[in-house]
Amino acid sequence: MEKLNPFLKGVSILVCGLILSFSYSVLLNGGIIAVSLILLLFFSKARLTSLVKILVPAFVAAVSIFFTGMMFTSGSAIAPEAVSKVESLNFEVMSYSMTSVYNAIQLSSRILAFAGLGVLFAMTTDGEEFVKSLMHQCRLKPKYAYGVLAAFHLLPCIREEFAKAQMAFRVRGIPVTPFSMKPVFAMLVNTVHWSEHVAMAMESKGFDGEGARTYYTVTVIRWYDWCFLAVTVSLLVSGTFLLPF
Amino acid sequence: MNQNFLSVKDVTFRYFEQAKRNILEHVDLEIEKGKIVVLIGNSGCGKSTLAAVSAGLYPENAGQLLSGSIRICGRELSTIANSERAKLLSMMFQNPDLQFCMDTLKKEMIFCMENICVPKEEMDGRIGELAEKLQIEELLDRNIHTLSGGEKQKAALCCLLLMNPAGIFLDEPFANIDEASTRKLIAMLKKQNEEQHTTLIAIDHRLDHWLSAADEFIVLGKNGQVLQGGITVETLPRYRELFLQEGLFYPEELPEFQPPEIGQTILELKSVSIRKGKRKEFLIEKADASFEKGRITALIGHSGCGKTTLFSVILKQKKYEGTILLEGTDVKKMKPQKLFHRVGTVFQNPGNQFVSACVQHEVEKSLSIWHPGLGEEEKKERVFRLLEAYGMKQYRRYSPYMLSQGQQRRLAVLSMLVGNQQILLLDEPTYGQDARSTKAIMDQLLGLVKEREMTVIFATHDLGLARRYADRIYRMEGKELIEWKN
Repeated sequence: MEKLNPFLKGVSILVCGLILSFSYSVLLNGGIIAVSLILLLFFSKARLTSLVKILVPAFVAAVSIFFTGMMFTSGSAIAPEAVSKVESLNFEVMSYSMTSVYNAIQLSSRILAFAGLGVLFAMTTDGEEFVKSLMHQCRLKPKYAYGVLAAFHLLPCIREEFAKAQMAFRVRGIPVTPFSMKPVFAMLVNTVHWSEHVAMAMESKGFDGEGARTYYTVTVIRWYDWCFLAVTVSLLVSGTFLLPF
Repeated sequence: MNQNFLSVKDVTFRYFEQAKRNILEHVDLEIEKGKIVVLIGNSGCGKSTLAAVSAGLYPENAGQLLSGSIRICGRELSTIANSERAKLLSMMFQNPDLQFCMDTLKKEMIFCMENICVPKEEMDGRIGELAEKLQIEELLDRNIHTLSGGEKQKAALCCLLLMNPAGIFLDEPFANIDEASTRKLIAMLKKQNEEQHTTLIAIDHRLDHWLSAADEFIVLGKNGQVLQGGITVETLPRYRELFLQEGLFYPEELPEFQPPEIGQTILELKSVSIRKGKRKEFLIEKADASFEKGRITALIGHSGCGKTTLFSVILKQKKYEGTILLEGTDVKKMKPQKLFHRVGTVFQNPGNQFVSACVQHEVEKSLSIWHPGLGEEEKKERVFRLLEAYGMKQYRRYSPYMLSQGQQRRLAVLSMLVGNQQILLLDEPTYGQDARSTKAIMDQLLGLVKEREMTVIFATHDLGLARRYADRIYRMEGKELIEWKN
């Protein structure tokens, strides 16, 4: 998975997501989850622990949606006349709950399918590679590409600065919770200053947002990138039409 | 032929169109090719601005050039494209953290070469060659974020040397790093100058490191005006008066350091060990120290050796092993609020600890934290008195962020003072300050120690500062904390 071109991989997964949002099939959702997991576990270098860490919240969300769906569906999947003709209350309740359970499974599996697609991209793609391929395949200007990279690499500094600001406030006798906005403000003031400094440093090293430059590594699109796109999309499209549930 | 590397003629520059004053006013400056020149001036005299204007970073990024022209190697600056300009004049900055856009030195070097259109095939060769020459192989693939301040500056310099520009402008490159790294960097620069005839223009507010290397010193006055050029190491003593008059740091032998007799201990560390992050490795191991009441104690050591961490340990913000006693009471058993009421702190970047949008409210806020029962009128009056006493009254409606670094620090100390804390911890109190501002800050501290019998502990990487102002000096070396005696 890591060898695929990040840009084209992103496009494939985005298209899959779009198609998925128009389909309504538990089997298709299940299939996507299974395929994503198989690709992640056997065809990528993704670490199991980080995979679990990301998927646990998604799973919690799916479970909660499952119960919401089961308890609060309107039950419109079955025509009301059909139900009212049946005299037995038990059967009515049962048919209602059958549709609710189906709805609930449908909704929750959908969440997991989207999560699977997202994780498949996120865990097999290096941020730097992705930005580079945006530059080469998508003609993103170097100005934006390297700007994003610089900001990305400043993150550890920003995190440290935030911790320092929180400590400074605490020591001044001002209670700080993880949601206090004041330290965030102090940190933002700093980062605005920083961005200017970094930009000047980049420029003094000859960086020119639009001018000519050479590239050490150029990401390219190979035949198997197109294959990945074609196979995933065609599988998904046929899945939407063929799978009944 | 033009023998000047850089010639600045009649340059006037300001940041905002509506601003009342110009940062640079009709500045003329000429730098000869192949020389090492040091520009010295007070902070706020416009020397950093002059550097950025000369390197073409301003007015492109900010401000307006109202008049004048700048020529590098005889060519008009505004006609040279960025990538070509970097081959003529490149710049090294003060803050080690903010000079990189990639995560490892190797990638950063590649980024630099891409900028100046070096063909891909040559890149590996050039990196290898330079790395061997400067012995930085082990730095190449380490994450830049994990390097020390000195190593970061070294890495930044290596990037510039790789591009081999005709000249390098250095904006206070040693302000944040320790003496040993400074010496190494100067040796590297000197060698580059000798081998490649690279012109080096350095901005500094101290010239003692440069004595062995520089060809010329130039003193800058207000608005970037050249007060005196052509000073060499030999003629330097003639200009001692000028230096003192401008409030600049003049290199002189310090008197022998004599610690006073041992006084009453107020804060004591007993075999305190601190671990690095969450790892098992020790940052500081079994440190013993005692800080005396009404005295100034300095903590010296290179950047990243754990001075700041030791402060956060004293403030109970980080886990440690061992005992810390504050007037005989174990800090571990004290409530945080009570501890902070007795120990105040000013961090390296005081901008982190401001809570209000104006100076007056900033001090008022502290007052209401530490003296909750005070009436509005009395609060206002006390704040006014304090602001007046410390010369900050005219700034009372300013935002704290609009003050200069030195003023910010004084404000931070001020808002600590209203709490009547007995112990003041200061992390790098003179970070990036010139001699005059350093003196103002340190004199304020000396006054406090005398008036209120306060105990001051400050961390610095500058041994000279410690020797001049401290009664006792502790040095962090490796993982140990040792008392320093001459």
